[in-house]
Amino acid sequence: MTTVALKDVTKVFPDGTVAVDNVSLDVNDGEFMVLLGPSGCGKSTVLRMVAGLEDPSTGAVLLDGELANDLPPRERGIAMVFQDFALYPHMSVGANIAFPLRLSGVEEGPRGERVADVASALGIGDVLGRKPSQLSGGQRQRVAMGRAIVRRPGLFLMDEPLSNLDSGLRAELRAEISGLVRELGVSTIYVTHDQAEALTMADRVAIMRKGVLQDVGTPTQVYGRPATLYVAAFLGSPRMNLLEATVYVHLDRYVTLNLGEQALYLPWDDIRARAVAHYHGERIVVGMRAEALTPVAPDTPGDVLQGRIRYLEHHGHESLAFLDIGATAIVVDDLGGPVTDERPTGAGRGLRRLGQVMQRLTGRAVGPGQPAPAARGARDSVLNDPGRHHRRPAELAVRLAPYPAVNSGHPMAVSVRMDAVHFFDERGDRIDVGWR
Amino acid sequence: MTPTPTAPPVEAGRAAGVPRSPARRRRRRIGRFTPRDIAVIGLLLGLPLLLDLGLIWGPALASIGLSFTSWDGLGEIRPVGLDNYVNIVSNYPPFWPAVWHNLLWLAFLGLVATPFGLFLAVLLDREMRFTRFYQTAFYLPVVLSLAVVGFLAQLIFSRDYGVANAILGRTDNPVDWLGDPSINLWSVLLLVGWRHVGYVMLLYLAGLKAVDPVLKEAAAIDGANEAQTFFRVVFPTLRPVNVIVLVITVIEALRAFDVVYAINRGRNGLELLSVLVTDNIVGEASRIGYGSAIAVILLLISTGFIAVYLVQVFRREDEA
Repeated sequence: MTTVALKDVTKVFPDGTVAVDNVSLDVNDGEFMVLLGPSGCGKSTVLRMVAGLEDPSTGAVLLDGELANDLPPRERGIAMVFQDFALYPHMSVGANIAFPLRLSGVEEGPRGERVADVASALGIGDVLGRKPSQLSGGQRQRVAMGRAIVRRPGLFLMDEPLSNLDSGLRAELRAEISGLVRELGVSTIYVTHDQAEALTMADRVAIMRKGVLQDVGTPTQVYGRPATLYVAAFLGSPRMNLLEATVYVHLDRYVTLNLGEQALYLPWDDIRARAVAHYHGERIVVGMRAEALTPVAPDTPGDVLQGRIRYLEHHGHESLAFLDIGATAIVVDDLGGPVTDERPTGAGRGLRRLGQVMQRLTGRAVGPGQPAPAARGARDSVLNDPGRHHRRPAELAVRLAPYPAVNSGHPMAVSVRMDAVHFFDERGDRIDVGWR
Repeated sequence: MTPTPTAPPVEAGRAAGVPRSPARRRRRRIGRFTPRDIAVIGLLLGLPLLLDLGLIWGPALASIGLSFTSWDGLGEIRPVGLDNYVNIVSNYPPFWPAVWHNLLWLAFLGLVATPFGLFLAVLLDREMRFTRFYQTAFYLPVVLSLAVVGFLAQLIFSRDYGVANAILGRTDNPVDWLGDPSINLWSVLLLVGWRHVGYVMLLYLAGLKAVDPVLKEAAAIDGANEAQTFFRVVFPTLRPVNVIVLVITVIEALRAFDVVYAINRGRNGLELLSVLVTDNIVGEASRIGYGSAIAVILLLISTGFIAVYLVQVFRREDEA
């Protein structure tokens, strides 16, 4: 159906916040693209720009290859499902679903049929006469989906449709939405902050953070070879273990990754050894997921880390042990929290004050159209400041069988699969060879 | 102020844990308020109630009663049955013109001023530049008392000294805006409408602010243009505001008095029912029974309108 192309799209709000920073993205015909990221990362803004509810400050939005920046929403052939359902409260369920058909001039007979078809397909055929206030959350979401489906659009846009529902319902509806969309073969852009939803539903995932696109790829690609530290930390449960390591190169033999009290060794014939060797003497980030770690007997040779269990989490189908191995953890913030506000300096502050006064006078937000220059492009080091006294000790997450015969304080050794280890430099970029 | 203990004096010498008899338990539940509480409640509710009964309900009921009598305010009260009413309807020249004028007033406010106020509210809801200034400018006339509005009417529409004639350049053949009975009601209605528009605008603006913006976005995506979005999605959710606006409009229309009284004491084309009531009750030849009858007619008209609409609204809500 419809293909979407975003080319260098930027959105700066009147008060100076850069919501979307130079995003380029393609959605192919019939593809289920998920925009993933924490609150405030700009994913909803991107969706609204595709819908036509916001205009991009710069850049182009193309629908089916044609420039759509100036098209109003109703001419774009799209349907949208909102987070809080956005059902018309004064109309019955049937009228809600029929509303877009009524606006496009479909007669009453065929209109009623189509509504009945869609409603029975979604399992709400028996509540067509009720008002939205008399329905449960799951039913309301189905009505919202019905209203979107009945129009047979070329593109579905879904803005966190499941986040207002309880978790049991969420899993059920997740499967329904996924199946329904694939059956209809309609291109879909789905926004969420839940990485499990993204990985299970998507054909491709695009991860965003603070308005910047971090990585795009199939779930296997972004999970197995994350392009940045942030993506590595964001995807996967339990979170990827991220350790600070210092690199020492022993030329032609191996590369030592010094984790603090212990070390891992990368043999020279590993193709990544040379790339990592560039960072001789520097600190990098070593990441390993819980599935790369296997408990072994303490005296096993090879890439083994010795540790002591700090605490255990029992999840019923498995248990997670968190080991203290004498290493330092890398903390990646705002994996789910709000975006912090950067205060402009000096002249920027004065201008902002004037903007606030003008805003009060005219009753409308007036401010600099240009973003604060200091905020863009600056990326701090993810590594800990060497002078800090507080270095967070790493807790290595390891998967164990359910209810194992160990306790907190027990020693445990884990063997590391070196080919499943990821490396990131101090700016958060992946250290690797070749393309993905 | 320390709270007084609620235990009745009988319990003072009682041992703890001894079960109380059912009768005393019942009395405890009813007497949860202290005597002081009852006194305060009585005072705070009772005084306004007495005032309400004495100053509003009492005179209203008395008016209804007096409408069946003939009384000049000083002498004896003589019951005359429906004579007053018959007389008013058939033999009182200003009556039917006054009814007609009240209805015209209502029609103008309801069909012209109120929709215009709604229109302004919709425009100002778009948060354009200087929206606060426009809101203030439109609402300012509401602050003026109607007597002042009457005075303004004279300044603008006076035949010899008014601004309207000066602007139109008709100083030698002036239009008698206020004296000509065929057009003076419209001159007055223009100014009253000017005031009413601001009032209605503010009410609708408040109502529009409560509309969820996501609904408008959903409608836009579903294919509605501005007009369809407004009439199909936004306006139906304004129903509570509509009720308020309608009641206010009806009250304002039927209550109109100050403006016309300030202009020419309500004659010569500006007759209104309220003025007729005053004419008959206050003044030299006071015919209180007669005036009361006119007042009762006014009361019936007001109640009729509002009752019909509210019945409709409640019936629609029951169906919903």
